[in-house]
Amino acid sequence: MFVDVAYYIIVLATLLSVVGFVVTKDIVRAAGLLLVVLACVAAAFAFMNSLLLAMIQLMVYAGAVIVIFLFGVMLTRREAPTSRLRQLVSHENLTYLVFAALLFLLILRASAGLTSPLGYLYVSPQLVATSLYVELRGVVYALAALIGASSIGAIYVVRREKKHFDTTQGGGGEKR
Amino acid sequence: MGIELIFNAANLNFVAYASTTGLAEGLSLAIISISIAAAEAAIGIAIVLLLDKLFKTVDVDKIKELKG
Repeated sequence: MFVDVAYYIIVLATLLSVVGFVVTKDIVRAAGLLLVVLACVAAAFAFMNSLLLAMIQLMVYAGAVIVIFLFGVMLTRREAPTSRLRQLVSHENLTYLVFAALLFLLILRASAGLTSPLGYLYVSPQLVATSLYVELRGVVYALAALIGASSIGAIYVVRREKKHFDTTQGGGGEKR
Repeated sequence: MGIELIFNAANLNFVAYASTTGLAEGLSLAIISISIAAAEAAIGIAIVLLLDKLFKTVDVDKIKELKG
């Protein structure tokens, strides 16, 4: 009974957070609501007997991707939201409270070993590792090469444009 | 950020498939999808920082001209 209630609370929290994320005009609030969505999805993974994916989701998505977005917001100029409509989620503390509650539910689920409400099967990490590194080995190698090449390419483009930008500015100053 | 939402929707389907059939391929695809999304987010921030440096704004309505 408790598991069912917790599961549907997570589903409801996911839906409300997604609606708030889409409707809000402020990008920082959107990032906070996206964090709640990612935590809800991690909790859903845990309820589907996939604790490995839940931990990866929290570490990579909620831990790294959100930080990347916030760095992008901090390092760029942006105009204040022009809409004067009332925000769907207007208080930051509510977002943090929901996130804390979801984390609590996730930890409770992981530690208490509750059975999944819909009878989801358990897939062991050994099976996942076998699938990734034996059957999908070529895909993993190609993905690693692609990610490495794209990251190096992104760094090169940014550095080259910065050098071109600095040279252009310096050239204009010297001519005067 | 919207793309991350779409990725998560696909991941939910992958994990649900893996959990109902007991096969590990769904979880493997979800892990691959997460890694692709993280790399795409890193590239996206590089593009946004470059746009801000060149055009002094990240408002896509004002970025209307190609370079040169």
